[in-house]
Amino acid sequence: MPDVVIVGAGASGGAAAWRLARAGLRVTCLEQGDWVDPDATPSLRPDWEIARQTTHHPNPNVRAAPQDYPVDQTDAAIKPFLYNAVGGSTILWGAHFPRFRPSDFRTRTLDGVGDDWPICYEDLAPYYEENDRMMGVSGLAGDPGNPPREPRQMPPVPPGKAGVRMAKAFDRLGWHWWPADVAINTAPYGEGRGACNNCGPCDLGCPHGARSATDVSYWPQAIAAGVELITGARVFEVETDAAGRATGVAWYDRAGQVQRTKAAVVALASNGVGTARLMLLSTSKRFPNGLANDTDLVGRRLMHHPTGMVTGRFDEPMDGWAGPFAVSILSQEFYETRPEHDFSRGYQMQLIRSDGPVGTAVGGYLPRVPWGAGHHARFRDVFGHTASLTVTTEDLPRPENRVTLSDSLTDSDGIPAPKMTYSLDDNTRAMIAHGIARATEAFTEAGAADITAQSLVADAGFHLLGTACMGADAGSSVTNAKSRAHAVPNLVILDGSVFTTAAALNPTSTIQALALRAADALIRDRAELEVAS
Amino acid sequence: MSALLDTLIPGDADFPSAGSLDLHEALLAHDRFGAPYAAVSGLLPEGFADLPAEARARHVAEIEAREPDLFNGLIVGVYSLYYTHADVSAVIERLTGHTARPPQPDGHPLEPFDPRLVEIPARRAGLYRPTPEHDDA
Repeated sequence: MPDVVIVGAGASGGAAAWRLARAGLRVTCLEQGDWVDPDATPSLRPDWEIARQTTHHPNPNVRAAPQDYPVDQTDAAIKPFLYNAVGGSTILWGAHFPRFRPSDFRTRTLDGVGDDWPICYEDLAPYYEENDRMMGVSGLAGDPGNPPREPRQMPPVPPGKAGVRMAKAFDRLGWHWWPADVAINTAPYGEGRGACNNCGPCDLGCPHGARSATDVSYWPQAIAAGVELITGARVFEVETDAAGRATGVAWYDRAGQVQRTKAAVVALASNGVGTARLMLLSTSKRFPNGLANDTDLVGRRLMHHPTGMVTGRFDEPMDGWAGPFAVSILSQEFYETRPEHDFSRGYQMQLIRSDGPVGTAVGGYLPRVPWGAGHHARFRDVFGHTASLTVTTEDLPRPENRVTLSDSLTDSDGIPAPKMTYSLDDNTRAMIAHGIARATEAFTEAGAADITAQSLVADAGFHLLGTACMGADAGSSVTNAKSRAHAVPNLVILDGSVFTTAAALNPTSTIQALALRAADALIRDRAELEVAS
Repeated sequence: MSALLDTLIPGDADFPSAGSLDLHEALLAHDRFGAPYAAVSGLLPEGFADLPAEARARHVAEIEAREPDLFNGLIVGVYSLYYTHADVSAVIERLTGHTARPPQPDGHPLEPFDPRLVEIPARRAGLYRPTPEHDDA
């Protein structure tokens, strides 16, 4: 019997598995997806952009791969993006790798909104550093917008023509900007991992292993340390004893047969939607409303990063189809609460490049190129001539934004699908409006010929957070500061579900740092841990 | 069916029209794009191909307004196959320098980062807020 069974082999599951196994614990990880062959990436094929629209679409409802589960999005203003595989959603991510700022852990104390985390930046700082070493980060230490950090493993990704232009515009405006920290190799780094060749579509996978993901960073080392990784394993229940302690998990194998894995500790690492779904599925006499759900908080407080988008078109070619699509430079000038703003907290502006021909025509950063007589003229105007600033806002937790079980959708094993119910509040709308105005100002300063704004990018549900939130008070949170459920002492939650608040930036480095910290706490406490007999 | 394709993407001095390429069969055969293409085609009036361009555009616009989701599926399919067609890729390469080959394995040159770029922002004072635990900002 393993000491720990982990559900999910993505960003957090891979990190925790490695850490626990290195400390000598017996670890089994169950993953419903498979290994992804990096040499089979669509970016090696002429139809690579069709894959983005179909088989490699980030929305599981569009992709509809056999290993996917559908997500009921009928009442969600933002649509889900996630992936099921060894590596999880890091398989199709852009590898943007910022850290939380210190204030992100203290929104209640500083600004009177959200809730304070039971931990602070300093608690996570050593884990951020260790995680950076494991994933491999390109960037530049010295950002005045963030606490000091160790030199990055590799120099920054070059910002491209548009990045240089926008950096100079930010300088003239007197605004903060800095090269983004990214989990992309600009030089060979890690076991068998080469350097980026600036191809562009990181989301389709990287045959050089330059764009980090846990299948090429943590997992080889975790398996070498003894972790048993079982793919094609779809967990549908966390089982408990009469006292409510976790005893293991039940899962379907590839043949649809029910299997059971007993373990002293159960760790959930299935993202903010999948973990909440599994907890809600795991009802018992002790937990009639779902595992560890005495407070009715499991599934609630779902947070994204509601994103506005401003795109500038330049008369000169920007060649934005070259270079990692999601990363270049960022500005945190408006990240913190200011008295002159009509909203609390703030946002990050992140410069992203442009798209290939299909992406340009179908639309995304800009509206779709219209069909008909003006089609080619518009395509010529915009293709390779644009750059975009995302307005990535802090989404404050609200109980009505939540994950529940769908009453109309199931996966291929008949397990109820998760349902996302999500809307934006006035604070977020005000923040996006402010960010759009500032991003427009930046593009104007940079000399863009015309500027287009989207007030909300619906296809931006890539950060799934908060549905089993961490807190000091067992009456108002699901897990404690060690990411262990208040109500189930041997249940650990490793993914973004535990986020107390969401910050206004990409969460993966924080998710992984929290997972490493939770693993360390488990290693320290294991002798005293209350487990099922 | 080239009339529908030509209505969506007419040709010009550089680009071929969608109808002049071998997209019709490819669309019908495509496991995801075939259904919306066939469905929208089925909504076109008799004699559509014989109508003047303006009248064809009016009919297509009506379908777009009436069946937006279906029409979006059609557009994604047509644009996807058109802009991955070798003839169109060659035009784009000639006009823009965007190479008519997949992004991998060759990629694009990765220029070194020029640290002089951050001389101005690096001089700014700490911008993050102090917290009770972290007061050296």
